[in-house]
Amino acid sequence: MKIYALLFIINVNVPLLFCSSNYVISGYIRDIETGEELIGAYVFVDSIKKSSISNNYGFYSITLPCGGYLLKYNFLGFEIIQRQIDLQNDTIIDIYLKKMPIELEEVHITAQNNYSSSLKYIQLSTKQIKELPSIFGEPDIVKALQLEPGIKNIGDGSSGLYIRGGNRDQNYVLIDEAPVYNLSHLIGFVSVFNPEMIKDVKLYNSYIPPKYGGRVSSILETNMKEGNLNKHSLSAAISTLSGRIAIEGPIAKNKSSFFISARKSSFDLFIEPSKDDFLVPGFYDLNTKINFKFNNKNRLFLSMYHGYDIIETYEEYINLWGNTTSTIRWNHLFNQKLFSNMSLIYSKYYNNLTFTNDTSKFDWITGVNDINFKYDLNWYKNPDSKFGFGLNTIFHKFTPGESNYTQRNISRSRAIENSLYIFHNKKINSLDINYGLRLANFFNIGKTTWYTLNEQYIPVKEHNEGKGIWNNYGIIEPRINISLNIKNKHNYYLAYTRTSQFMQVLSNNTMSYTFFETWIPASPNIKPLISNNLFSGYTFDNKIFNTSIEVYYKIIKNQIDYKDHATLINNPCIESELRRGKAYAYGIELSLKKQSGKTTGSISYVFSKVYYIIKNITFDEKYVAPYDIPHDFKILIKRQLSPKLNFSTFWTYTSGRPTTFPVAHYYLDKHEQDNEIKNVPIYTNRNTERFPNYHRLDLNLSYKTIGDKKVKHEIILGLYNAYARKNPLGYSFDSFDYGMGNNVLVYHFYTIIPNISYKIKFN
Amino acid sequence: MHTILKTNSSFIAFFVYLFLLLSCENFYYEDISEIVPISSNLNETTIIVNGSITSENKFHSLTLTKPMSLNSMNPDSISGAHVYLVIETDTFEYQESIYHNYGDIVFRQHGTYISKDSISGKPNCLHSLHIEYKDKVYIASDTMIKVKPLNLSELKFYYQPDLFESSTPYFKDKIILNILCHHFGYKQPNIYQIITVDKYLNKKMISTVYHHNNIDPQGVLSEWNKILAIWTGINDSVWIIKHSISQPYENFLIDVFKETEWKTGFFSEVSANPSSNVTNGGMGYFYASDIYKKSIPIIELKQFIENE
Repeated sequence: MKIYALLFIINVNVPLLFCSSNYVISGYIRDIETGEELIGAYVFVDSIKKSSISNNYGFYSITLPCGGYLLKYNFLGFEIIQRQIDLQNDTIIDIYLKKMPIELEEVHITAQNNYSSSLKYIQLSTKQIKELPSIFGEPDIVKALQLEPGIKNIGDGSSGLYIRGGNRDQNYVLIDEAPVYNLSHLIGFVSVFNPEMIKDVKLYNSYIPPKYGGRVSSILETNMKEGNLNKHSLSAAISTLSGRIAIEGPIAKNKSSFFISARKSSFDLFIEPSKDDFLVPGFYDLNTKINFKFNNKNRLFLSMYHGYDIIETYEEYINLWGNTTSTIRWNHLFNQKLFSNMSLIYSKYYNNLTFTNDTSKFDWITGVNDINFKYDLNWYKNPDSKFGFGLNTIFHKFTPGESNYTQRNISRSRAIENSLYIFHNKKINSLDINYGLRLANFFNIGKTTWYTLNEQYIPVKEHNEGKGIWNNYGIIEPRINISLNIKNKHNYYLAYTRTSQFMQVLSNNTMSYTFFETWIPASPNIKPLISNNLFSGYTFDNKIFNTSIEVYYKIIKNQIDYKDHATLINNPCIESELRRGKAYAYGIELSLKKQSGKTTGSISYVFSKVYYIIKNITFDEKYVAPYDIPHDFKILIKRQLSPKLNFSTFWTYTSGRPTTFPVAHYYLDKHEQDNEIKNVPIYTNRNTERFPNYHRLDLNLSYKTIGDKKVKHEIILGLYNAYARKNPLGYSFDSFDYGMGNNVLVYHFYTIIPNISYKIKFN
Repeated sequence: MHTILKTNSSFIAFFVYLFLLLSCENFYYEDISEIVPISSNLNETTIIVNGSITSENKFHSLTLTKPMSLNSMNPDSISGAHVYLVIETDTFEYQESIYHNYGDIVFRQHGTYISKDSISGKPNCLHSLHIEYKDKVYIASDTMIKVKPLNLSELKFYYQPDLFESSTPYFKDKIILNILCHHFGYKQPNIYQIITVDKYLNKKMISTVYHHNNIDPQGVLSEWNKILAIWTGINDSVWIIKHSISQPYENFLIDVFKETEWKTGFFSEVSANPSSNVTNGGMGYFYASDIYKKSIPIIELKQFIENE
């Protein structure tokens, strides 16, 4: 045995003594079953402790001195493949990984810590999402992310993500690089992501690489499936909430493929709005993707998402909203070390509200249209050094809110957002340094009307702009992440990022979806958000257990909030209703995960605070943000009962979110000689009260057929809120009877929600 | 292996049983709201001002009270305050009265202050109410906007055909005029009082209509945005009084509506106190209003509505 080991060492290392030239091994890492590229797959060279990782298009590149090497290719849930090579010139190796048989698949990692790139992010696969408890039996990315430590929501059914002190509009949500401006289906009970169409999800909530920008808190990057290059398949699923279907297959075998998926809610198919069923919501979405592999150096992807929502009542009210995105991407390989991607992206969001009564009709519309051009270059200089460059130009068209009731609408406006970035990832022994710079600028352009405000926020001058640039901002965003990895077990990291955001959401309350919410651009009165973020953490990972402790501190400049009773609709000078200041956030996150064995899971606790200092909102100017949830405790347990059967349970206990309650009241005789007396509540300062603490237990049991069968089945049974906790969604003071006691009407979500979903797949 | 299967089978059976049991309960009709108590934290140091000055020459009054706890229905009045009104260079004193004239009813209530003399406000002038109470001075100022003469087409009356026929004296020769309580999108906010006298009940009926210069979705959607039905005799007359109001007072009224009858679940904003013009932490409002009055025979009004 020792002789073999000696021979192996000689075989591997002796050539290094005589080789001085470096050669490149590059190629794509793919799924053998579908032919789709795998994002974030690893290639390791154990003997010299070098590694590389496949990019968003499955491409990898590693430069090594000439010699003999044993390469190991690995991806989560796939079997490891080893290749022995004798590297004497540049080599292309495309690798096809095979999914691990379920009987052997004991590793279930909820959130992958990626040390190969030394960047910490949360990565989820469709398989992982489906194993988690869900609401209405609908596996959902956003709901799955909300189970992660440090990612918060503000109540049942919310599709909002509140990440490390950031508001929900401070997360850049991308489907195939195209921004999605409203994540909600069904007022937030479901997100826009159809579980059938998602290939890969990454959430950057600590260090945000310079490649990404536009939002101050996080980047949620999702990639759609490209379609099976080898064979056709059809799957259909039905849940308590919706039905969905997906078709994929090759257009030309191993050269091009397609993927089409559609989803439709079931409520509105069977229930019409009536006096009994007052409010009926419905939605559908459609995803398509086509890809063409022209040759080994050129590949084209076309993808499209379209989502539509409707909420209607029996008589008066209809609310429609939706997102549409389309992306054209061209991958080009200049050489084995230089990879490029060029993207042309279109994105549209609209929200239309109509209500009518006997005498009038109110129609209100808001939206954003984007055309976006991106160009990214990755240069894999050697295994220890990777460079990236890129540029991005977005043309925005804003409709911040228009109604038929008045001519005094908020003026439409246009803007151009540009960015340039450069980064370098450098490995020095156990130390990984990622650093880079992003230059962002924003130009308000074209015809619009805006107002100069005085110190009391009263408009004093009207500006009617014509053509050209009439306002601009430029921001420099340095970013650095230093990571020290010791023996592949201990990882320490320290990161600083500066991020900016040139557009923000205005909405009339703090729910995840509101009927009145609109995106408005930075302008002379609304400065861009600038966030300075500091992160530090330690992680221990021994393949079975992963434990981590992370701390963060961030200051967000130019945070806006509304004055009391702000008029957000039909107010041409909406900026006069806003007040500007700073947001401060800090927190500590502790988590312990068991990653292997038949029982896996995680337990986490987060303490965090987020508060605003904004003048003219409260007396002392400092108050907590509406999404400040100091304590957040989560437990997730998954048990593989058999190769076919999985059970999972999730329990969460968090602080209640801040709110404003009445504490007293007074009578107001509104008008002289008016017989009607108003009973007016008196409130405390903003956000000084809190909802009751939130807790909930979910259970989930999934069964699926395994093996290479022509027809596969999958059944999921679940219980949401299994012990029927009545967590408040909101309070209503409209039926508040002050004379009858200290009572208030509280709304909560349905208590126990049993759910079932069934999926069938034909190969 | 057998044990594992047996354990799993029991587990699955239990889970499915639990699932079916809970599914049988029709959660769709579950009541998703309930009444819960909240705590009351009364700040008694605040004063509530409730009053106005109009262009009518008369004894004007206002009330000063303290906030009430959530359990209370009886406000504590503020007694012993020194109250005076300043219009340009003129000062008008108010004196405390234990009698409060509320519509047609006169009752004893402390905290009512009445001008010592018959006074009237001045259009286009600032009216500042000064209240000196317990070492504090509260000032509430409002500008009286000049009212424009009434144009009947401003009021969107519509005629309600007979709903039913009745031979009872009360319904005989009665017609119903309908009007929305709130109208939105007008250039200038105004308040209209439509006063009729119910001869049968011997009672003066006042309907108040608001013209807002902006649209508020909460207001438009509110059920209170429904119709005011004005029952009147076909041979009677109606008094219409148009009140001008300033933009700050209009803002205050909108805030009050948002916190009271317009408070709807879907569109309600973050709760907050209405924007008072009383300084030093006071609440309520003191406003100034120019008045235009006109009496119109119902026959004439009905004809106007039909021609419109």
